[in-house]
Amino acid sequence: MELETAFNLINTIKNRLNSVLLGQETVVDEVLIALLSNGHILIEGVPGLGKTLLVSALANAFDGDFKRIQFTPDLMPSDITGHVMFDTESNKFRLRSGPVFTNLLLADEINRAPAKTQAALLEVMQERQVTIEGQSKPLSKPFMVLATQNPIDQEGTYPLPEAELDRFLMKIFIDYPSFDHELMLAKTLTTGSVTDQQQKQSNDVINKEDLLKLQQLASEITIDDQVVDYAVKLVRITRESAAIQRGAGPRASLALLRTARARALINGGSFVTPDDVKQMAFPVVRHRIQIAAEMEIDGLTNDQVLMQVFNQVEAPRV
Amino acid sequence: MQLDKLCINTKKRSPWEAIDLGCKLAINWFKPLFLLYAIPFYITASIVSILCYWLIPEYFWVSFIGMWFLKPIFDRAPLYFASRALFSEYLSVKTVLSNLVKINRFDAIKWITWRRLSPTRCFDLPITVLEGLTGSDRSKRLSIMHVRGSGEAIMLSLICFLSEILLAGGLDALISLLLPESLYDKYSILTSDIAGGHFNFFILSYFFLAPLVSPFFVCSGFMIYINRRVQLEAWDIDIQFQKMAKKDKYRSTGNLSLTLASLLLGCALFSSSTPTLAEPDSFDIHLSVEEFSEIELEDEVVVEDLSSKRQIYQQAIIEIYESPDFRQTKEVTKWRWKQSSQNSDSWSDGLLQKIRDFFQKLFESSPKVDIGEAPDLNIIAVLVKYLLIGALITAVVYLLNRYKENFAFLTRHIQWKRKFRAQQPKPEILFGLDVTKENLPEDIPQEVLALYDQNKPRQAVSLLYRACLTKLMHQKGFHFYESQTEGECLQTVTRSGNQKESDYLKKITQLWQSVAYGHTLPNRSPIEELCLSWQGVFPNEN
Repeated sequence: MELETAFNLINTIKNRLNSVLLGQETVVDEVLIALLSNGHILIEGVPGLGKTLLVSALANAFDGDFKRIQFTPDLMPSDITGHVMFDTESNKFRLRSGPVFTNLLLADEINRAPAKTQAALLEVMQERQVTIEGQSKPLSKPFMVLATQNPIDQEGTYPLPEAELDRFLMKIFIDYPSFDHELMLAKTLTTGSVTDQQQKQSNDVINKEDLLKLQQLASEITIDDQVVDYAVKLVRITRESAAIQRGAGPRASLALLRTARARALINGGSFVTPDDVKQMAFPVVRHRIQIAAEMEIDGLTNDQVLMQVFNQVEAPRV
Repeated sequence: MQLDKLCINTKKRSPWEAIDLGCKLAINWFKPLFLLYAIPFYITASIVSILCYWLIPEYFWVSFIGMWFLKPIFDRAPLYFASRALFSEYLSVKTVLSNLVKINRFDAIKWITWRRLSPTRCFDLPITVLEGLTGSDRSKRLSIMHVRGSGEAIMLSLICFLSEILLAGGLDALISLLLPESLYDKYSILTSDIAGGHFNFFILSYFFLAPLVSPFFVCSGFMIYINRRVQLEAWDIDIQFQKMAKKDKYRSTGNLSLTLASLLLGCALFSSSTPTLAEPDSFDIHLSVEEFSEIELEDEVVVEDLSSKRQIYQQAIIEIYESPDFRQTKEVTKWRWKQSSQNSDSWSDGLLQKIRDFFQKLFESSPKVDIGEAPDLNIIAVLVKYLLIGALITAVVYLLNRYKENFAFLTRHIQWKRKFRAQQPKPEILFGLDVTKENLPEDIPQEVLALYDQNKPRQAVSLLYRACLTKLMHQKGFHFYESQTEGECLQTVTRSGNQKESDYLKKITQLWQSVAYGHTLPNRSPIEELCLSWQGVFPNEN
């Protein structure tokens, strides 16, 4: 696939998503970056900002399968991965596939399920396969988990374990739209419609094959050695800084380079710049670190601490 | 004491925030703190319990009283660890325990006797253990330190004591409730069969659980102490100056200036503080953490050592004051108010004279009311007069602030600020590139094109980008940092609002990025175009 064709195709998807989710251009870009990087994404935001809408809009724009799991406290691992059951008619054990056998999986309110259920996603997200009764079944390609969680209303929730957080390529925040965008949204959704749901746009923008080609193209974007060096330094400094108690692991370096490549592609670039790396460092690293106690007491967020830490790393210059 | 190694963010905190921070640190270092308290505590508690059980079983509660009085002894090892760990020096449990006798040698008897009843023990213990103060020095130090935080320290002691009691009571109750009936007889040996009933088992529970609370007690008290020292000695300012000194490594005289500035500020801070805070004794007492290993010194030796140090410090300060940097003379010409003791009516002509006349006429021409012998009304009249003046000044300030954009002199002020920034020393090396004016060629566009023609396109674009950044810094007054990427540099210029400069830098940045990171060879035409535009963007040079 040519770079220009890819850029046009990506722009079409972006426009479709931006027409559905008004005023969230950065979020849309980040979701697309995760999609092109073949990674999973954790979306955090207060209720009513369109997290689920974004994912369903992405699924509508894509001709692959889309499934949704509403995480609840009584959800069991087998409800996610599937299980083997005895069929009395055929007198045989039959595999009943879980909802993870899809292309886009929406894990809604992922932190409402207990740890053992969340852990069912570990193999799914990393190995992209499910092991049931000792047999591994690969998931279809492409596969992406889009999980949502709510930063408030923490009662009855289970924080995601570090191992699972690390498997998310990025963690992004969705914030309130601007006045103009909210105004437009209110007008659009209340005129000629009796529900708050947007009309589904039927035509698919991209198919599975094209998406796989885009992912391949993103992985081939040129990246200079100095930029790689810069990305690794950004990740490593999180382990050396006194402001951070637990730094990001090597998986963050890989994720940072993958997302930087994808960002360069969606911006129409054929190479990765240090700006791509630095911009992606926040969503890639923010959920993989634990800031020091005093920073927490001082009310600093992970992003604020990361900003301080990243400002200690010299940007590359040839 | 190396403040740059502090593992906490130094700033002014309320004592409760300090306690909160102490709890967080206790959680972080819980394992070593717990072990340092628990190992000697459990051993001693076992010995004391066995002895009491053996010798005076009817008065087993004596063991509780005995251990309670000995608690300050056990607090010292965790405090020693915490004081080192705070400065990023993590000692092993074995090392601290091997120094246990040394740590507890100083003033131990006092702490387990009459000082044991002090409710501010957690706050006061570092003054004894870390600063090694005793006698009147200790009293003076305590009076300074207790200005803030002592109430919270008392509350902390109370909370920790109650926590221990509740935990021990809870464990006692839990075991009584869950113990199988078959074992109840054995359990009753410790309870009802022995004098004291449940209280005996409660004592054992207390011995078992007290080390769980202690790390929080010690760390929180220590953080109240550290917080107080941060307030008194301005550690936060000191650290900021150290950071500034590191950042300004390119300034040739920067280090000296900063050191002097920090000294000046430090002196001003202490001289302007209340006498209680600025007492020479409190300022000079810095036995600090490094010297903690020498606490085996006798009291007299410590005091003598302090006195000699104080003299050395005072001599050093006097020498600095005598240096030429504090003896600079300069002529300043500006308008200023004359002293009221001098001839107040001899105001010079000009604008000030007119303003003064105006106000004099204003108040003299106001109708005078004969208020006779009513002094209260006089006072009211004066008050009203000053209120009116105050309202007038407030209104003027408000209007100036409200319409500040419309005043040309403010614009001039902004221009002056920019000029001032431009006059500040600029770094010589930035992003690994030499960004001094001296190292740029005379005619940059010509040199760039010459390099391109010599089949060195990469060097040509590099020179162009470097020259552009250099001009922006030295000529236009922009400041770039090493951590800024090309895009962030561009944002800095764009935010200034100068469209021409930002457009030009954008073009150069794109070209530079495609060469540096995209590994593409540029054509001559965009470089020529940029070279032609060079004079338009940076007109004063070349």
